[in-house]
Amino acid sequence: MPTAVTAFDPVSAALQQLHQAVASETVPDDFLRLLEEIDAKIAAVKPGTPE
Amino acid sequence: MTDPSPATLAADQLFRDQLVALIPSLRSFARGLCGWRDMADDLAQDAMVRGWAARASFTPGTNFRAWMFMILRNQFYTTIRKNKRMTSWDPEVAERVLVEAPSQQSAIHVADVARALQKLPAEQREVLLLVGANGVSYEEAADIIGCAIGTIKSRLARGRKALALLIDGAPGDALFEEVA
Repeated sequence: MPTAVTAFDPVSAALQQLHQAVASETVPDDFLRLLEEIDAKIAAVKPGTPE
Repeated sequence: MTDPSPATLAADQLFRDQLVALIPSLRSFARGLCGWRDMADDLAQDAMVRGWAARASFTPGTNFRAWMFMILRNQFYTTIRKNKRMTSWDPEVAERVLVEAPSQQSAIHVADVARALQKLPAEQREVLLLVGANGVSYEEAADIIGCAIGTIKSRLARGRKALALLIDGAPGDALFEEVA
């Protein structure tokens, strides 16, 4: 019966860890402010919404 | 001026939601490309602003991640042409990654990989970040970079070998371990 062989790649594992470390950080306030600006722009163009 | 249609508003809202979901990946890709946290976040925000401004040119249902990564990448190359100090990974982050998230099986230090990445040519680094770190497919990476899939594969192979040599002098293939 053939033996299942799994190739473990430490370089890929390390790259994924680097990605996860940044991706799991709390999103800085600057980004939230940017999203608020986008939300305000969407709200401003909704019919019936005072600009 | 006429009010936007409900469809346009819905599209804007969807675009905004996709943007929010992509922020962690944008920050990660930017960090890997330029190395400096503050610059990377500026880069990611610039990409978001540009993406939002160009949202009318995005075709709903197509690959939003690839579209935004392409914008971020273009912005990165525009920026590095003007700024030569974007060359090294944030050492604080690399240290923290090493302490907080060691792989159970990892045979190499994450911090070493982070440092070595910044020494690679940008064309190899970006492929390693897209495919190796972000899990982007070869086809998607080819779309983002604007080259053939074969080019992605060869840059990935060269990048992996160079990375391995930079880390400990081992050939890239030697970094594979077989587990029965």
